[in-house]
Amino acid sequence: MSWISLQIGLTGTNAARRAMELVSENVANVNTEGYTRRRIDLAAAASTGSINGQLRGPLTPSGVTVQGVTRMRDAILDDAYRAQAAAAGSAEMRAELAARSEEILGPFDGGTVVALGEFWTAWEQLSSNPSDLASRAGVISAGERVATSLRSAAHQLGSMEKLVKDRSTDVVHQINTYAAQIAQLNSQIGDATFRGTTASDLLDRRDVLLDKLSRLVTVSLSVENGMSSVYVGSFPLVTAMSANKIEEGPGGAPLWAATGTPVDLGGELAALREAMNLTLPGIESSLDEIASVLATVVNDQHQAGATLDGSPGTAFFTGTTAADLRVSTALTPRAVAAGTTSAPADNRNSLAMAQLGAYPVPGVGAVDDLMVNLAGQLGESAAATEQMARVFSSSLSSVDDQRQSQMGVNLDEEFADLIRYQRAYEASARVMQIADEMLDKLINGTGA
Amino acid sequence: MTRIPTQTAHKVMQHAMETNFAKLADAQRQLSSGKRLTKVSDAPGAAIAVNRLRAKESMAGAFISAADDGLSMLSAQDSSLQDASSILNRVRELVVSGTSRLQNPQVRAAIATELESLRDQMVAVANTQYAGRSVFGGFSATAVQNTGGSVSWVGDSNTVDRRVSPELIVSVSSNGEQVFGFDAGSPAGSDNVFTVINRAAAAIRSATPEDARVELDKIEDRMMSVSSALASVGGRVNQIEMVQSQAEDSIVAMRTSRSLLEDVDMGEAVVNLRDAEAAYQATLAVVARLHSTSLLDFLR
Repeated sequence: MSWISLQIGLTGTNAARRAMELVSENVANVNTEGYTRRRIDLAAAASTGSINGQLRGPLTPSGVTVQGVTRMRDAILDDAYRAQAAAAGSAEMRAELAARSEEILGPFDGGTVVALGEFWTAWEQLSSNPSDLASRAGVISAGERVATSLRSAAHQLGSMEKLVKDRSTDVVHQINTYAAQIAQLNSQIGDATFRGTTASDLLDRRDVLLDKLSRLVTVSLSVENGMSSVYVGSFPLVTAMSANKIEEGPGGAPLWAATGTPVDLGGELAALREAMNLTLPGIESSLDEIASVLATVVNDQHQAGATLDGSPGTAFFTGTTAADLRVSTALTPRAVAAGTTSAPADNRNSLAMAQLGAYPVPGVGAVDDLMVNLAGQLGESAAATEQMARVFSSSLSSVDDQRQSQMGVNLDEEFADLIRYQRAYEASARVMQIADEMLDKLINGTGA
Repeated sequence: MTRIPTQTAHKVMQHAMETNFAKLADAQRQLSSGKRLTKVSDAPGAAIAVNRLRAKESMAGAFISAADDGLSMLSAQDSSLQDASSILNRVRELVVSGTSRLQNPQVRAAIATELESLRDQMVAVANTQYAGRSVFGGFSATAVQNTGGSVSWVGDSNTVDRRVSPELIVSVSSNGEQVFGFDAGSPAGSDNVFTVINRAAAAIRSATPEDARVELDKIEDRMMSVSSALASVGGRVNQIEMVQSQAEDSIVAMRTSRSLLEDVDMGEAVVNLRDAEAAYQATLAVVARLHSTSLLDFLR
């Protein structure tokens, strides 16, 4: 019996040492992103007591065996996380883009909206003193402020379009990289499984990649023989060890390289594509509409008036889009058509000009309303998308909390385990010592 | 029982610190800028209202200065018309006393000369300017032209308008053609105030001064047109003053409602800042204590 006790004690110290190794690995990775806490699976080892495959006699106890290492992770929570991640990814990206779009009209107390109001006020002021050159110059500079702020809005919108396009290219590139890495990890995990070892580190790395991928685009997963297949829509992005590529087609639309068919959008990619195809062009056309309505109504009225020299008024603004709206370079203070005649006291045209902001252009509306509506719409959309992003990220983080509560490392717990296994080790060592003493008694203390 | 992994506990503390710090920073920003709204998305509905109010306010400012300008121009007319009225009174006195054949010719010649000088004074009144613009001549720089005693109308019938409220455009000029009678008599203009004075002076100087008596009715007509112009000026001054004081009131009202929408309530902001400070300090204290607590401390 003592020989067996020695053996059993050995399995005990071995198991305790292996367990302490796992504990130290857990402790070492307490701050590692995506690290899954590991737990040792122990089982009582029972020798079959068999000789040459035939059962002889009763089962005898033979210590403890390490059955394996369990990654403390719940596949259901992983699926839940990844399903939410795409929604959160697109909501957050939408909110970020909307917050940027809101800024194109300039600061709230000094942007395009304010400049337009000041332009009409300048005409109203000119009407009190129509022949005054300073008031006439005031109208021109107020017009320049409107044109400049519209141009700067168009310019910022342009750079935003470029940024969104770059980001979208970047996201497609990332998806391809992740897919390739996942395929490679699949193959390494397959090898490890074939050799019968657990590849916890590789599995962790693959899970991190899948988490990241699921923010970029909506994916669905299936696992077979330890290898993940990743589907985007019904098209496989990764099948076992091979990955498909996404490329950008005309207009940056993501297409499957293999078939040229469009990719089902989701996640950040969907938000970026939506901005590129819908939101930004919408804002651009609103800005252009404002610029063209402004130029048309102002120019029509200005041309109906007369300059201080008696010649008919010329165009006040040149350009028809927000990007090229300018005050005509030919316009001098004397050439401002404040009146309908050359008479210095004639203020009729400036009185009419001051009212143009509210003039309802058939089928379009008044330019002041267009302006305030655009500012309101950008603000509303920034506020609404921000709200949505908060909802989606908080539900994502609540799923992540649940997941972390399974897979995350708690140091106190690990220290408690460490003590437990240390004690187990000491106890097993003690068993071995006692067995040794017994044998010593038997071998050296007898027959003397 | 829910496990709380160490990393999650850290994240929760970090998140709490960040959230409370952001609240503190926001409270400080609001207090130092005095503004609750810094971008439309802070409160889209209120921001749209603020934008509209701000545009209306700056327009109302322009209306008030247009009204000031109009009032000055009207008061220039008021004093000119008072002058015209006293000139006409003097003219009537002179004509009445001059029509008698009992007056000796030297006296009548002197009366005629004074009438002619009154006519020239009337020319100056008709050409009254405010800020370089004629107040009776429409858009023309001068209303009448005096060529050796013969005075002709060179103004036009345009009215000089000021918009004093969004809905109200008021004429701040007077029609000199009517005031000075360039539309009176037949043919029209034959009984204008200058011609009438000239005719009276000529008659008084002549051997038949009683001929000037017919001009007394004409002078009476001109006095009527001057006093009706005065009444009209007075009416418009009242109207503009009323609208202007309404505009001033409405600016105050708009500023108040804009301030309610976009400005910070100072008392509330200070309380918010104190709350945020307290919450942030509490978070820091908790974090400091939790961070230093570990099972390791109790294992010996």
